[in-house]
Amino acid sequence: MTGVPRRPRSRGFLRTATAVLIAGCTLLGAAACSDSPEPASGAHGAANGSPPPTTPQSGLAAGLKLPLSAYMETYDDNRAIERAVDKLTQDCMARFGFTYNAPERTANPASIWDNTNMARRYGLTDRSQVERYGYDLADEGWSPPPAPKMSPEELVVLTGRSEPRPDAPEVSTTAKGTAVPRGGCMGESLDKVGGQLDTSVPDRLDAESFDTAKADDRVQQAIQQWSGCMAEKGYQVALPADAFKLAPRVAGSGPAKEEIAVATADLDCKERTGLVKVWFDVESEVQRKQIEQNQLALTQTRERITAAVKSAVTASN
Amino acid sequence: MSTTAKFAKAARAAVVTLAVAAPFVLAGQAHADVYVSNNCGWQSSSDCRTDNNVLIISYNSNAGDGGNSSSSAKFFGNVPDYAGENVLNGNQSGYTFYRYVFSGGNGSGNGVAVKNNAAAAKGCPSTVNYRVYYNSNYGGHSQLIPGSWGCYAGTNLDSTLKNNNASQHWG
Repeated sequence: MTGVPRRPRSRGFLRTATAVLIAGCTLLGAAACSDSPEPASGAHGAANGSPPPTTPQSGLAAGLKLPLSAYMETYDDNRAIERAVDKLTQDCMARFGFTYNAPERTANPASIWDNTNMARRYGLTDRSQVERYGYDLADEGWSPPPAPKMSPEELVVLTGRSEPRPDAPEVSTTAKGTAVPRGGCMGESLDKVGGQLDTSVPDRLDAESFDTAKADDRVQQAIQQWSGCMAEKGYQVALPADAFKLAPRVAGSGPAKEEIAVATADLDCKERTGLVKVWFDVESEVQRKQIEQNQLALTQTRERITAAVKSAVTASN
Repeated sequence: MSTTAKFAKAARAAVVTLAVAAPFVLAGQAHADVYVSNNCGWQSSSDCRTDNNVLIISYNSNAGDGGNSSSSAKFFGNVPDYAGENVLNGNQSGYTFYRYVFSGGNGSGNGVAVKNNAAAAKGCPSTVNYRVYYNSNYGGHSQLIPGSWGCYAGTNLDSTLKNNNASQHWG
């Protein structure tokens, strides 16, 4: 971690932030006041570096997992394939006489397990995160690894292009007397693991079930109850997905008191109405039906994922 | 050049800037929207401006060979709402709403709002993955977009996220 802050901070903000932090330290306890920004672990994602949990660990979505998750590419699957691609790329670069070290791939604190996005699927669900970050993520202070520094020749062998840009021209060339593969060593490695995984079937179904469940009377009723609860607290809003608009955020400053107030009310009302569990139960019903109707295609996708992971590991050993 | 002007200059790139009455008013001040195709202007990391670790969102789907010449927008890091972002003015004179639109390329989609109008995404170049979300603030169904250091692979948004993209963050 470079510790480079991702957002510019004005002087005024720093003074205010320090004051808030000191006050906050007393309220939130010692754990919240370590020198390095500590992500709220649990519900949303991983502690520094380690993989995200397979299901949210705290909050209103704790322990929930949708049926279609079983057919999706997981964080671990993706990492295994990426590691293999990195190793193959390294070997390929060595063939051309270059020592290439792939940028380190680590989880950021907001990484999630799969496309169902359980911790935030139905909006905010984790009180400890909401109280600190409002609608924002608990990954402040995280920066991506620095870009590798490469010579032009190295870059062409790595990527098959003169620069790493979407419109950079492809370069057809040889190095050490051998033709550089199309897409460079990266392209070759990606091809060797079978290209990008096609998970369109579970993805499409998972997206459709969200809207189907939302339209269900039981979920609609819970949403209306949520909205009524918000109104009692002084907030006029029909849908949880729109609640954040009640307290517009400004880039370059952390969540204002108003945003945290709205987010807390949002969560309180979710708790009171049981909205998350209602929505999850209805959506699980929908997904079980989808699985029945699409069993073959889903099983094939799952088998394809497993095979890709296996062959990626084999190809890189 | 004032800080605000520097931000705005960096952000505008090839987009013609239109001043439009703001749809909502913040802190009692009316502001003209600024139309941009990236969020580089207020990032403290130099990555965005140097085209590193960015996610390129395109108006049209990728062609069969993965290429894409339609208008696009480029974002670094977390974007809680593809509609745009309020940014503090450097001279402490309030906020400006930067509205995200596609631009450049062959002009297909030029000037169209990024939110709910994207068909493809590419972490290009990027050492890390990204995720695109159905709802703002990273809610709803999501799709993992691989970061491609060599800009080799782009991803077509899945059939529901296509034209329903609301937010993104680091994968």
